[in-house]
Amino acid sequence: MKTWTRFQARTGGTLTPDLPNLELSDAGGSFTTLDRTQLPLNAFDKDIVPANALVQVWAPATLGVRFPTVADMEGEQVNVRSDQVSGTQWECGTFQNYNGGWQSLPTITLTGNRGGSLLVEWAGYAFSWNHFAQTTNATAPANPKHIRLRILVGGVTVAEHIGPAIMETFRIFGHIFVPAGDIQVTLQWRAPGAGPDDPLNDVTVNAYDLAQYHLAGMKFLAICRSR
Amino acid sequence: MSLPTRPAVREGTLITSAGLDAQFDGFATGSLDINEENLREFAIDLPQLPDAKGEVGQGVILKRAAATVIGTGAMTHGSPVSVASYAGATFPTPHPVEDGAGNPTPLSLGASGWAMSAGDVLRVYYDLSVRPRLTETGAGQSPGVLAPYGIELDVFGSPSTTTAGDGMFAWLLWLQWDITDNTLTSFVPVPNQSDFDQAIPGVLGAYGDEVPLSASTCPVPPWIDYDDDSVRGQIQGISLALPIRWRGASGCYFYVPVTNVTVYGLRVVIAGVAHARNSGGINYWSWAPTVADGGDTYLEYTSGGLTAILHRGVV
Repeated sequence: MKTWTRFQARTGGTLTPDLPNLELSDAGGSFTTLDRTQLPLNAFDKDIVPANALVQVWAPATLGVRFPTVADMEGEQVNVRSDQVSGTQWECGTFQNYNGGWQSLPTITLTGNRGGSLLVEWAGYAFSWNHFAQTTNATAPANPKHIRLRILVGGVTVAEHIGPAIMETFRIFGHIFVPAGDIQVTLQWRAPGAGPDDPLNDVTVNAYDLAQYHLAGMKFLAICRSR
Repeated sequence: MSLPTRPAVREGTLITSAGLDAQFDGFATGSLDINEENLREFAIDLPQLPDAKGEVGQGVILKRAAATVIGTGAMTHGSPVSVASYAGATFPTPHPVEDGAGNPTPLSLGASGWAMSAGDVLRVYYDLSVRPRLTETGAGQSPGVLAPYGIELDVFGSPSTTTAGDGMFAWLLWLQWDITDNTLTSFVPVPNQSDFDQAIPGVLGAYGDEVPLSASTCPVPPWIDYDDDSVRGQIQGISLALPIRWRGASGCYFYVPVTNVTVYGLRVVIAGVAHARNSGGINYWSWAPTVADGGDTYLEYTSGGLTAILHRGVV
């Protein structure tokens, strides 16, 4: 609860130029923001509460509707993309151009974040060639080709998922309380390596690399319940 | 906004009644908005919000929400709806999810629809219980080896090669909406989603569309290619197709309107079988009619859900 720290100018008082300043500065200062104990029941509705008063949404439109936003590759992962594959495959990750480890999609900055309860949601679909998940020399354990996914907010992992395999959709979301200020979100994926019996090339012409991993149809949403 | 909008009174300034009034008028707000500048963190919660006023809750954050059961509505898989794989020369007409009696099961958003404007975000989620069928499997080789698909691999202990499935086939489910009227007879793909009905540049006779235009798409593998006998990069037998049992297919879609638009309904449609392609540096979904193979490949489904929510707050 906040209380007034200065009495109001009274009728008949001596008026000086600084007196209005003091009154105005008190009223205009941040200490006059309202909190729950000062707000009556049923005080608000949508007509007097602007859209961003209680919540901030960083939606695909501000990030190109689809994410990432690279031209002609909207919604697709772009960091590991080989054009050495057959014309009947996607240009995507192969064993030749992907050496393992976490791959980051372009960093997303939540500009003007006022802090609060942040929910990050990331969805799309993925391809992972599962043909050689279990082979003569990969049985115990086998080598299922799940593409692992994780969401980082300010460098902190807030959600991690074993991820999709074969050809299927995914949706992953995480939550964290964040302080006010611009904050960065990073979406990462990590594919398993080749098993002991995985072929690396199409032998017909011995020129095609084999499509192994891809992410597409991706979109991103961040919702911060700030007030 | 209710911050002072006038400069501070300076010492030595002549005091007049009009000037003094103007200083205090600076506090007046045109809209009486209670916004982020004059609310403390967590200042508003349920006690401060009145009952619903025509929109979901108070419309302060969430404006609209709706959900429906799509498909047969049955919890069991006894009487599924069947979708044939496309065997034509161009592109299929997508099959709208229906109740098994020929009646589509779209999500109606009411006679007036949902009016969306800048600052809103539409979120749509769907799921469907599906079963990709491949009746010729068993001893059969993977349909994934059908030309022009598949990849050529060495055979273990032999100078010969064999074709293996590349795992890039899929049934496709995607979203359409009706932004014309509530008769729900004018469905078109949602923005950034294609009906995959375009000729693919540079590939004669191939139809489909760009992967970037699959924002609401859910791919479902029609089978799983595998070979559990391979040794050091070489196949011992043949590439096999493992039939897939009932599974849950799901997808979602986000949309932020750049201009005012009213959406009256949404529906899920299905077509297949598609396969990957690339041309000119762009990835495509391309219809693969050879996979139809005498009707052995089809998709069954029963029921699922389609949910839409509209809320505001886009920065």
